Amino acid sequence: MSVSRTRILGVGRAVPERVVANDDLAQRMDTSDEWIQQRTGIRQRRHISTSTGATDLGKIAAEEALRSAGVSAQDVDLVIFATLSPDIDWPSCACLLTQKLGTRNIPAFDVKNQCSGFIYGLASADAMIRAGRARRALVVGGEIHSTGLDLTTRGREVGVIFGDGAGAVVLGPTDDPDRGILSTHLHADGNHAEKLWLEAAASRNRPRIKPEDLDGDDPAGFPRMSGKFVFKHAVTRFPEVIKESLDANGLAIADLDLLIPHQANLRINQFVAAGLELDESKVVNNIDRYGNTTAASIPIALHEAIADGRVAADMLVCLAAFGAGFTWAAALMRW
Amino acid sequence: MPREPLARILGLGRHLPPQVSNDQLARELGTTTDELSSSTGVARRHHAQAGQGPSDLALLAVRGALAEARTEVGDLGLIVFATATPDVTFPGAACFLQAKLGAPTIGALDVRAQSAGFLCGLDIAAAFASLPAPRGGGSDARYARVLVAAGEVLSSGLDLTPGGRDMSARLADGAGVAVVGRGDHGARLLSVCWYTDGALADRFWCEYPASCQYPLRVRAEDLAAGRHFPKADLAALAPVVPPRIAAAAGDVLSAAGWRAGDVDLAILDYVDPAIARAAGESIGVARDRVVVPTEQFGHVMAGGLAIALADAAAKLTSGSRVLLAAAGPGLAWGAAAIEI
Repeated sequence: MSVSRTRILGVGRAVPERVVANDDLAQRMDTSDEWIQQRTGIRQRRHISTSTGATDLGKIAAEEALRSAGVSAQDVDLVIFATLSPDIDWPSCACLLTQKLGTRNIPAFDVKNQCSGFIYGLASADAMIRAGRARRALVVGGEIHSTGLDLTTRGREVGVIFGDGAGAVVLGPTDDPDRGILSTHLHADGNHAEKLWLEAAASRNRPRIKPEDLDGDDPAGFPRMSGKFVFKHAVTRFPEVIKESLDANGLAIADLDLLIPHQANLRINQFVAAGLELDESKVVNNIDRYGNTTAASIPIALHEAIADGRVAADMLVCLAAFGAGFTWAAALMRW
Repeated sequence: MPREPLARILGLGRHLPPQVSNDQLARELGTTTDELSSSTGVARRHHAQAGQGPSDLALLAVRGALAEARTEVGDLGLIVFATATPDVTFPGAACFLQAKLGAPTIGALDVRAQSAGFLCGLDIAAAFASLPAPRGGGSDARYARVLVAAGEVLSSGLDLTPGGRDMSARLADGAGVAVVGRGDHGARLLSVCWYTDGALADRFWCEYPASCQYPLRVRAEDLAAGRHFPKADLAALAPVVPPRIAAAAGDVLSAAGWRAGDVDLAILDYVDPAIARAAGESIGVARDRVVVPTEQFGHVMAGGLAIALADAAAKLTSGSRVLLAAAGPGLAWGAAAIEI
């Protein structure tokens, strides 16, 4: 069979049970439900309540994706794990996941591209499948943010945003030239790397992490963000890369049936949809319930959109993301 | 009949930061200069300077590789950076390298596959380079040139006291880069195969920061206990590694249509040079045709194969057959067959 394109064969997701509402955070820091909702659209997020890794959630999501694809773990021949919050420093989450799933000895690597990580991973899997390097690829986005957040007033700007979760897709080749991933588009601008970042542990520092990184006025061991700066770039890059993906395939915004954007901030997604003149019914948003789960947000949202009957055969679906790096990306697919 | 390559390696480059004094390191690690080498098989190692991350080391390797590939920064379509020790926790080293190169807003993909990182990077780059254009009609022009960087700054995460002697004597810093693409010149990447076995993850690892630890992924007491330093049970891995390297080498030799005796140079990278040498014997490559990067500059995980390949390619004649193979944390291991 000639490999024309790559298709998503199954989708899964997993989130921790513990719901952390805005009011729960307001008991730990100087913030309020109203403040958080107004700026981000977030009502609640999930946090783990016992030691749990991104690969533990990733395993549950992956097993659901494999079940829905009708693929056994033994058939998987490539694992890509997108995360910025790996279980351990190294080796990769992908390694740990192959063990938990019981795959054969296969290529497995982590992608560290933050909010764009899932699409970067999807693009890598697409290229490797089309090159004949894999026939059943598992791409997982998974994060445990909560153990790395400063959940005090000092860290509130970042702390209220992020949640834990995982999503997964199983990909395989199709010889149908009109279905599957039509194209992927990857971008970055490292000039703004320090506008949304987690410095320590930092190999460029000597030592890479020290006790002072975990304390002080502005600790390097917790994520930092220039919120307004990020917002401004996000609302430019999102529409740019969505249009780029459509242009590359001779399609237009009017052809788009569903946009599944990364869930960083509801206000960003509303701004982008309005700018593209895209009806809200064509945009998937669930940040109100999960917060920003970085690499996991798109597969979780895709899973929900499928469960809600919002994705049907032949629909033109665009996945798009923007985040730390800066990185931004899109994947256009015919479902 | 020559086989069609997966992709071409059009240019190579490498950078090693200043060599660390063996006498000084021996003193810090509570050993003698002779013992430092004889117990590990590592002759020298290089340590980055304060403020230098893998992106800085890779930057110093890129210009030569681009010149050799007759490629401008503006022609690059993607950067793939393999490292386990990024400049900062996030974003990754590829983003920093992209900015330092002054590259356009191309993709900057950061991957981690430990000591198989360069093989992983070549694998991904070859796949992108062979992508068809979105609307058909030939190759995707965006990925005619992909920059693969592989490197580490491990030294800033080492326990440079007698307690950390074994890892600190073996692990070191450096970076290598390759310009991968299509075309009718340059080295021919004929095969790349690599594998992972997560069952052995805790035999060679750096545990902290560990996001899976509730409620905090790293605390001052974890640092005090040294849980953020690399650790390895090399004795447990010793019997496991050579057969795996040999099997991966067998896969790429077979895909390339070579026999072990056809190999002009085998670059075999593992944290324990004696084990890398043992793997060479299992493969059946003559000892004088084996280069072990760890012997020369310590184990640089993702960077070792790339650095040694850049060094070797400069001396080899066209048509030389090079076998790359490595194993490291994960376990992740693999091999590649390249005709210069």
